[in-house]
Amino acid sequence: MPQAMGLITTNQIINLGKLTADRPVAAVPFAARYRLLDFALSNLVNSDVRTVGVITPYHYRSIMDHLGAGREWFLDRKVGGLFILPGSNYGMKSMNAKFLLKDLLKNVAYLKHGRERDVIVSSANQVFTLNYRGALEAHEENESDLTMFYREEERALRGRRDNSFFIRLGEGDRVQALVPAAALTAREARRLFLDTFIIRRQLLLDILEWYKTMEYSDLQDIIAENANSWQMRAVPFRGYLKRVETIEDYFSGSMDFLRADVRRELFGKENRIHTKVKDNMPAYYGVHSSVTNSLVASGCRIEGTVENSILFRKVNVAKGAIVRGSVIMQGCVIDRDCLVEHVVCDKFARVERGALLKGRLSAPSIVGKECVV
Amino acid sequence: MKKKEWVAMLLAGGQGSRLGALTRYIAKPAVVFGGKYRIIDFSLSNCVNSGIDTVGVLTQYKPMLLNSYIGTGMAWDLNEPDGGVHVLPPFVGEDGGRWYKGTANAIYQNLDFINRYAPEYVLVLSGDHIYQMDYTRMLAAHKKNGADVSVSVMEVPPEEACRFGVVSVDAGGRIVSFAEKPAEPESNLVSMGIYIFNTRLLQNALVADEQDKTSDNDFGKNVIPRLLAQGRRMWAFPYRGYWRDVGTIESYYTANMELLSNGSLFDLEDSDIRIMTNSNIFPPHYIGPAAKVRGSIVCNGSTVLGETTGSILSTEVFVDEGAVVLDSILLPGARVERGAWVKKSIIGERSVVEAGCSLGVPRRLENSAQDSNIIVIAEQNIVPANSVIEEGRTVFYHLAV
Repeated sequence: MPQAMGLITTNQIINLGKLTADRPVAAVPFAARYRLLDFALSNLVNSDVRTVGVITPYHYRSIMDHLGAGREWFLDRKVGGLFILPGSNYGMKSMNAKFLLKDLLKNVAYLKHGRERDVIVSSANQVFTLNYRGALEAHEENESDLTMFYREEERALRGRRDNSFFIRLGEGDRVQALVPAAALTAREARRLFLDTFIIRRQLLLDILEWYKTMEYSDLQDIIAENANSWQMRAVPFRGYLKRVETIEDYFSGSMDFLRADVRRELFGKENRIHTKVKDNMPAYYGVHSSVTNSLVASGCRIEGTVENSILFRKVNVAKGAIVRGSVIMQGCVIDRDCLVEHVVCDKFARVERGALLKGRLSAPSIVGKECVV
Repeated sequence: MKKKEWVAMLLAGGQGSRLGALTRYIAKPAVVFGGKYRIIDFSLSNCVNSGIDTVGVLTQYKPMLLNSYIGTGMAWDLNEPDGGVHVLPPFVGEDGGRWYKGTANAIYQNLDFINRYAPEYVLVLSGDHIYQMDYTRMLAAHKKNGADVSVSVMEVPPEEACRFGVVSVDAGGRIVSFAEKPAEPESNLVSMGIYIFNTRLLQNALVADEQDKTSDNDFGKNVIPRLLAQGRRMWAFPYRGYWRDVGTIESYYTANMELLSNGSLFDLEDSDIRIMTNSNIFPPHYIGPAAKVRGSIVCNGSTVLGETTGSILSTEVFVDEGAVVLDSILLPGARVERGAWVKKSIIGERSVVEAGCSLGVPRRLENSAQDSNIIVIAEQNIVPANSVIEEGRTVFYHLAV
């Protein structure tokens, strides 16, 4: 069975307002008990990858706190395991590279010391579940240099995501070109590159050598430039995908988890999403509580009304309080007789007695971490 | 190896036969309690929260689940290089092998384990009690009293004392008499089965007990009374918190329901004394659009589309639309299908109550105040669609596939 090492980049600047004030997007809490990074990481370990490097941004405290030694992802190992790879502090927000070459160059030792033939590279701001095994086997069988994953979209995505790439297919599953969003035809705008690919480890090392003087390049630009020189194949992904680049993406992606089909796909047994364990007590529902169509994590204590919402661990909803269409993160307190509607409350926020907080479904209000309303 | 002050020996080999269907495949300490815990989590967490880093767990009856559950002890931070948790099953030596004959014999057979760590004190515990206790206070009292043995005791209603080891103490708290399950108890102070021994004394006592062919090799019945008769310095350590022996279906059910009375009887939330558990990682639970969940505990991985009141829903439980679950305990993986009525029942792990069933006092009589016995559906069972089980009893249907 072919083996690959994993590489996840979290040093990408994405602005989700207050939610990313002091944490990278990869560490943003999501779906009641996870962080966005868990999805990329679980996809790797569920595909039997046991050597994973995580490139961190300069403000990596929350990522380190979450990952620890990688125990929950079976990565506290003698052979392989979890490697924390410090990214660069480039301080140029306009760059917005997804796979910054400088970050890879600084951590070239990780790639050099690997024994696996291939590296599976992915970003950490996407919600999806994908097992790489089949693609990895085909990749080795075909002796491909690169295997690019893409999502077959129903509608053209043209114009919306300026640093997204799309796949132009040649014969069969050959990739003819990697096309930036700006240069697309309407037909091509349906094959969104998943920011996830398998690359021959030696080729990646070669690229780093060839381009070492251009360290502020993005690896995906380099791949696009050289599409014709390498054996590059594309693999379609047909499952659920939410790429989180804006607060609207975050909010609508959260609400997607109230859909049975999304939960079935992402919470199914085969590709379980792994995350840090905290051993909270189970959730308690008071005798007067009313909770409908909501996703609730352990440690919650609900005495009031909750509708169409996502409640993270240890949220307290007091008697008479009403929470609707909201995302309430770990440790928040919604006090008596509050009304909270279309709101994202970051961790440990307090909405005090009688407060009224209303956002819009299309533009939720955000209460910052540890804020008191 | 650095010297250890104390190690804990946790007795987890009992069958718990009075839990009947719940211990058909697993030992009593492995039975799920409070939704996401297993009973042994409480003693193990108490050890860790009391700073004990070496625990021997004595197993015997159907230990497979317990062994894999304890694993390396990582879930309780007991993966210590110099100690940690060790599962100690019966074993074979040069002169053959023996089952553990009793609680004292189980520890006698593992004196090598204790000697390996050469602790000053040995804490002996049961793995089948629900409580939160800081053992360091008991050890401090043990040292202050200059005791040979300390026994943790609590007060119970006088009529219940006869089910326990009954202790009488003098004004200073020194034990003057100890009677195991006496017909006529002298006091309402009973032993909780938690002992601290000076190691040397314990060794000698266990060797002596082994040589006594008439002994049942039991701490409460034999070892403690013998040491008392020898005039050893034996002190009672009074405990006043919540403590439950969940040895019967009724006491198991009641203790679970007590968790609901105000969310929790003990501090499952205080992270300094948290109860740790080796739970799998399950997704958050989902409460459906038409669901009603009141006065209940719900664990991760569950889906509730119907109605549940006054109940405990463990991990990966499913309550379908139109189903009603009242005053019940659904163990991990239990399913209650469409339109089923489940009242005052314990549904075993991975069992299914199919559509239209009625368990317990039926819906039409629900408001008449009669109490009923508890219905127990053994684990991995299917209750076929539209079955009616009115009176409390234990049900074994064919195994689910």
